[in-house]
Formats: sequence, C-alpha cells, structure tokens
Amino acid sequence: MAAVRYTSSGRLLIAVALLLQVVFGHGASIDEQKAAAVMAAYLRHIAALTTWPNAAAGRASAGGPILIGILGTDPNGVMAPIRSRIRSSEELLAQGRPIRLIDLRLPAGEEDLRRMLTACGLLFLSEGSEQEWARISPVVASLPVVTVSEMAGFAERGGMIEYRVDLGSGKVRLIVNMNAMRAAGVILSARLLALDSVTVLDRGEDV
Amino acid sequence: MPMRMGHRQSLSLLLLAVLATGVTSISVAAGNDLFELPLEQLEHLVVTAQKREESPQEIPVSISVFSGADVASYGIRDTQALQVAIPGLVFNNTGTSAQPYLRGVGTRFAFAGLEPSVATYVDDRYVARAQATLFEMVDVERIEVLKGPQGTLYGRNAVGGAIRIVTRDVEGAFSGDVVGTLGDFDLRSLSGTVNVPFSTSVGARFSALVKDRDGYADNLDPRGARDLDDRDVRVLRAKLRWDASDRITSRLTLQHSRQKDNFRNDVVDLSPPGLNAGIAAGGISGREVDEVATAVAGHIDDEQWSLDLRVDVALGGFDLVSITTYHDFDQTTVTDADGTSAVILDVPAVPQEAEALSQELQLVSNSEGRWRWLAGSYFFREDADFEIILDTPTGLMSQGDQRAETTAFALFGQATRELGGRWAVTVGGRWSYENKRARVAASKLAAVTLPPAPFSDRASWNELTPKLTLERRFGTGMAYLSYARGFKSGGYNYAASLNGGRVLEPEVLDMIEVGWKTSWAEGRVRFNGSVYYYDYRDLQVTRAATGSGVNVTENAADAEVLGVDFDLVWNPVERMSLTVGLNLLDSEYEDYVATSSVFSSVVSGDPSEPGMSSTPFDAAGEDLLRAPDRSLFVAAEARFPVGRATLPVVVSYAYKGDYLFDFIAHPTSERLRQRSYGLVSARATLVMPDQRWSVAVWGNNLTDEDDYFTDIVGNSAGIRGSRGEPRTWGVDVAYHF
Repeated sequence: MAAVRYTSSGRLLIAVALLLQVVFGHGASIDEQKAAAVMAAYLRHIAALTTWPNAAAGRASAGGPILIGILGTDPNGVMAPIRSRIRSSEELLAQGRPIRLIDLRLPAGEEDLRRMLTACGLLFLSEGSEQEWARISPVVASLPVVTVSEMAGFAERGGMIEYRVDLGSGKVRLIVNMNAMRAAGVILSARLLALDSVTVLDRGEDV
Repeated sequence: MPMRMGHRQSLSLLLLAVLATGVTSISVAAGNDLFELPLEQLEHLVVTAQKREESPQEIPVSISVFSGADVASYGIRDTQALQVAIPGLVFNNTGTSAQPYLRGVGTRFAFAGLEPSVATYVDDRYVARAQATLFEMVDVERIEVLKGPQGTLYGRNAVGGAIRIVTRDVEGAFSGDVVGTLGDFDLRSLSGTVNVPFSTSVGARFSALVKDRDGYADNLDPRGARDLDDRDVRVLRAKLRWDASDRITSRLTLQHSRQKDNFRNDVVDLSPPGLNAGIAAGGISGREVDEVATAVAGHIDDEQWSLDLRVDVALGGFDLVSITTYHDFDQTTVTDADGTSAVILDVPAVPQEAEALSQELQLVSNSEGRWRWLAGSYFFREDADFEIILDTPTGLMSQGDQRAETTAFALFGQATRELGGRWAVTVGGRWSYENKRARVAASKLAAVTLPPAPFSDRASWNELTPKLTLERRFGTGMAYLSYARGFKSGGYNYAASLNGGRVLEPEVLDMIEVGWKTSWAEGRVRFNGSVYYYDYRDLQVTRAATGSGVNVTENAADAEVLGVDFDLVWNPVERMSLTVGLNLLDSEYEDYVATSSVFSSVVSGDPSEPGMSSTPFDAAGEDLLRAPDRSLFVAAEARFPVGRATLPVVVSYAYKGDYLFDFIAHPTSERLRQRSYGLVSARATLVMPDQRWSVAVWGNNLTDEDDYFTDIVGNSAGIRGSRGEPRTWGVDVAYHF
C-alpha cells in the first residue's frame, strides 16, 4: 500500500486528535444492542424476501414455520430480539409463516449434518463461528439454506449474506454473495438487493 | 462485531432533528419495534453509539429526506431542483441570488448584511450567502429538508426551515463510481468518487464533478453572450477521516468549486407590448421560449473554497462534538435587469466576496436513560463585500461598495424526558446574539454612486427562541404537538443607506404544529402529516422602493400562515411504490401597506409612456409572496426484471399552484404572477446483474411546460422574467466498483 502523505492541515488534525486521545483514552463505542436489533430485523426481512426451491425451507407445509438455525454463542445478541419476540405472545411472521429458532449442535456424521441443515430455511452464524463454518460450508453450499453471518469476510468465504457495520455511514450493510445464492437455488428479492445498504458480490466465479 | 475501521459516526441532521424536537427514541435495546420497520427505513438506522440517530419516521418534526438514489430518480440536480420534489418549497433566483421559500417563508433579496430565511447547510456548515446556495449535488448521501422554525438547533436564521445536503462520508472499503452523462443542449457531465481506506483508522474519499452544457436560450444580440442559462461548473471535494481511537473520530473536508457560465440568467421582457423602457428605446427581447436579447457579454465567475473540521469525542456519559468551518466565497455575476437588448438597466458586474468562520461545540448525552440532553455554543463571523454596477444611458452607476461584518453567538440547550406510558416531553431553547456593521463607500468601478456615500451603521439584536414538544407513540407510529419559535436577525439592505438608512429588524415566527407519522400494512403504507399555524412578525419583505426603480427589503407588519402537509408512501406490491406529497397553504399579510410596481402609463394616463414606477399598495389580506396555496408531488416507481438485470422506472409529477412574485396593483402587472404549472419527469435505469454497470435514460419537463419562471421582477424598466428549465433528456452511464 502506498505511503500516506499528510498535508500541513492533516498533520495539525492528527496532532489535535492525538492530544485528545491522550486526554480521553479508550472505550467501546459501537452500540451493539442497536446493531444487533437492526441485524435481527434484517433477518426477518431476509426470511420474508427469500424464495426457496420447492420442498425446501424446512420442508414445512404451506403456512408452516420457517426455521432459523443458529450456530455459535451469539455474543453480540443478534438473535436476542427475535427470541424475545417469540417468547412473547406475538408471532414473528415472514411470508405469513411463523419464524422459529433452533440452536444447532453439529452432529458428527455428514448425513446427519446435511439432514439437520436442510431442515433450516436460514442459518445464522454468530461472531466467532469460524470453526463451525469451516465444517459446514462444503455441505451447506449445495443446500437451499440462506446463510447469514456477522463474521468478517463471510461473503468472501462462501457465505451468502454478511452483516457489516460500515465505518462511514454507521449503518449495517449487507454483503450479498450472488454466486452462493445461485448455487443453492435460493432467490433474494430485488427489493432487498436494490437497497443502498446492500453490496452485491457477483464476480462470475466461486468466491 | 466486525468493523473495517473505527466506530464513531457523524452526528447527522437526523440526530440534530431528534435532539431539536425531543424525539422519544424507539426501544432499540429491546429491538422488537424494528421488526415493524419497513426495509427502506431500516437501512437508514445508524447503529453506532450516538444514541439519537433514528429513522425520519421516528422524529416528531416535519422533515423530508431524499437519499442519493432519490436525487437521481427525481432529477434533483441542484438545490433549486429540490422544489420539484418538496411541496411547499418554492425556490426562485435572481441571477445567482437563491431565494428559497418554505411554507411561504423566505427572503427575496439578501445581499451582504442580510441572510435568507431558510438556512442552507452543507454537512455541518451554514452557508450564509444566498448567492452561494445554488449549487450542484455531488456525491450526496441524502438531503434533509426540515420544515418550520428550527429554534434550538440549526437556529441561526432558520426561521422558515433548513435545507441540509449531507455528503457521503468515508467508508471502510475501497469503492467508488464513475458516472458519465450526455444530453441535449450538448450536456456533458462526468462525476466520480473514490473511497480509499488507508488503514483501519484512516481513510479518504475524493469526489469530483465536471459539467458543461449549452444555454437554453440563444442571444439575439451579437454584442452579448452567445447563449444564456448555460452550465460550466467544476467541483472537487476531499474528505479525510481519522479514527484516532474508538472514542475519537475526526473528519476534515476540503472543497473547491468553480463556475463560469450564465446559469439561470436568461432574462426576457414580460411587459405588455411597448411598455418596457428597453423596448421603447429601440431594444428587442426574446419572444420565443429559447430566445433572449441582451448586450451583456459577461458571465458568472464564481470560486469557492471551504474547509470543515469535525471532531467527535466520546466521554463518559456524553459526547463532545466540535465543528469548525471556513468558507471563502468570491463571485462576480452579471445580468440584464431590463430584459432587452437596450442598455437601460444592464448589470455588467456584481462583484462580491465573503469570508466566514464558525465554531460550534456540543455536549450530547449518550446514555439510554429517561433523560437525554444536549448543550452547545455557536460562534459565527463573516466579512462580506458587495456591489452592483448598473450600465445606464448615462453611464456606469452604483449604489456603493458595501462591506458588512457579522458576528453571531448563540447558546443552546435541550432536554428530553421520557414520561412513561409512551409519552415524552422536550424543552429546549436557544439564545442568539447578532451584531452587524454595514459600511458603504463610493464605488471604485462606477463614476456615479447613488445615494451618496459614505454611510456607516452598526446594530445588534438578541433573542431567546424556545421549543416545546410533547410526543405520544402508538403501535402504528406516533403523534406530536410542538411549539417552536424561529428568529432571523436584522440586517441591512443593499445599499444600507437606502430606505432612509433604516436597519431591518429581526423577523420572528412562532409555530404550533400537530403532526403524525404512521406505518401500516407491515410497513407497506406510510402516512405522515402535519397541521401547522405560523404567527409571523416583522417579516422582511422586498418591495419596490417608492419613487425609484430599485427594490428594498423592509419589515412588513405581521402575517399568518395555516397549512397542512401530507406525505404518503405506498408499496402495493413488492416491485412498486407510490409516493405522494401534498401541501395546502393559507397565508396572508396583516395590516401591511406596501408598495408595488405599476406601469408608468397607468400612473400618468399616457398609454405610450414606458417603464414602471412604484405606488402604495395595501397588502392586508393578500397571500404571502411566493406561497402557492397548493402544491403536489407524485412519483410512481416500478422495478421490472429484465433477465437477470433489473429495470427501475420512475415517473414523477410536480405541481405548483399559482403564486405572486410581487404585489399586483393593476391588471397590467398581472405577469408578476406565476401561473400554476406542472412538470413531468421520468427515469429508467437498467441495472446489470452484477450491480456494477447501469445505464439510465432520463427526461425532465417532458411536456415542455414553458410558462414557469424561476424569477419575475418588476423594476423601473418593466417586468422581466427568467424561464425555468425546458424539456431536457439525457443518458447516464455509471460504473460502481
């Protein structure tokens, strides 16, 4: 990467900021609860705007639930708002079907793994689920399961939808891997793809 | 949670609007409320730690927000084009002097020593000079139009409202775009953006625009400019963002713009036949919609620099925000004030300079408790210099070289208290102090200075502008009752010695507004609205000066405004949306004896006498100038699949009811009225499957409406006007990376 040259104004800015940093020190700043709430809401929209091939999405009958499988410990609490909603008396619906959550433990056998994953319409991998993803990614790639994660670089590593908190806007962005979706036979609505907050990866090659 | 760079995020206008109006934020921590939020609103939520950035739908204030995509879809190329998409906004201009009127509140002539009544911001920088507020949209994140007085925040001169153009911030990934445009009138435009993250904490964003277009009107006079209302503009912007730590974010923005054209300067005679003094003197004027006739050969030459620094520091329990802005403005403009080829009231030069510096400090609470508060201070200093040179049959004349120095200071604060039961109340206030000094010296460019110079005066004012909002949330949305006072400082005419040297007193507006924001059918229907009442006192109105051809601004008596805003967005099916905005306005002056331009033939009884003079006019009961009683915006969008590509098509219609540019004292002056008009625009964009390439075909004013004007003025020569944009079309090719 090329070296950065700073103008005199830039140096002044840096000096001021360094001084402020020395004075005020460090601390967390992202509003994780808020980010988690937005990600959870996006998850519901993704469930509502996904078209699965026949007999997929949990093999449920018409009107049956859409299962969201959860892998990882969910340290940022992305699923908490959905759990809270489901625990309450109100249903959380997508496409007129109730959403249900299932915490997954990966079975040892590949066939069991395939059967378990196939039961899910969506699969959410929380931060820190790299090992789980390494295990299931070869299997889930050909299954009609929408994979969503907040892990950095998820879409680049074969996942379908990656949540990313963008520096500039402070908003949650969605990185959508179109190749992965096509390979799995699931279709995401153009309404979602058309959002300014969505970046589509579609390089004509496996990513 | 992965972050490409740091976490801190700019305090957006939405935040400020929230703070200004005391929004009760949705229970984001619980998160359940967000499930009911439509997708298109969800994506606007900011999730960094500044607590009060919410969807516009959650803010108890009348606000219109347009995304960068809307800017293209609705043909909002510049600030003036905003009036197309915002019912209740009339955005006129006299040459480079922008004149936004929001809900009937605005100021016509605001030269050095006076400011518009609708405040314009570029990010956090207040743009004081009206002549600097008519500009192109470059790399815009969104546009926010706050309607009504912004008494606490954005308080300086935002008596009618505030327009804020929010440019795109530095992002965490390498990205950018290039957009090339070709269109009729030989339109050629190239814009581009590159976002470069140097490291996890330092990044930059560079944006540029080059735009050239032939004029909309040919000049019949070979002595003058070849054509008028052309475009030649360059804009460069560099943004540097540095997250010194996860508590400190700094943004430095440097922008330079250059304009050399005759944009919106196509002036024609609109007087009844034979009554324009220029025509009587043997001149001609354009009679076809694409013709003008002027001997003025010069052009607008505008150069601006700005440097803005914003530092956000997260402290325990609150944030410190420092905003420093600098603006250097240098412009020379020309115009033909008689609208004919005769040299009667030609304006070969309007040189002006302004240098402005501001410093704002804010302390913003960042906890999620029942109390939220904000306190701040604002300092503004401007030195402005202005002169109008007139070319008359007796030679060059001037009203003098006017220098105006403005020093403004404000303290503001606001607190919101959750009352429980979904109620919240906000109390805020802003104390403003303004000091202005105007000095008029003899012109260095013209042989004659009238009235006699030198002249000097100084005045100061202060005002406390409170705001009180009571809000109640419901399952489908919220409703609010709000009171706010707006204050615009006094000032000086050009020349300050005019009108007996009287200083203009501040104008003050008290607003009571009842509003609602609702969302239905799982977010597919959004219906917002507000009913508002303005008690507007000492408003500053520009009128024809008695016994002369010049216009002066003075304090009218009082006025009242009663209005309604409706805003509907409906997504009947997944790929379609319908947007409707409606503004109904009932406004009138109270006890205001004004003056109005009338043709001299009416005064003298000699039907052949050309020119105009002024006459007393009782404006009591008249509608406010430039305040149409109804205006409408409708846009329909449909997204069609084309193979794996998509084809969004947007068709929009904007209607403005008739309104007055100036008082009509006699039927021969009827042309001072803008007749009602409607504009149809459309845009179809083919977005390739990879979302990287897109091709758009667009057209504005498709019905070629030719009876609308961006300016109509009556002066000693007659009535002149500047036509709005004719039918135009073009093709955009864009590549995103």
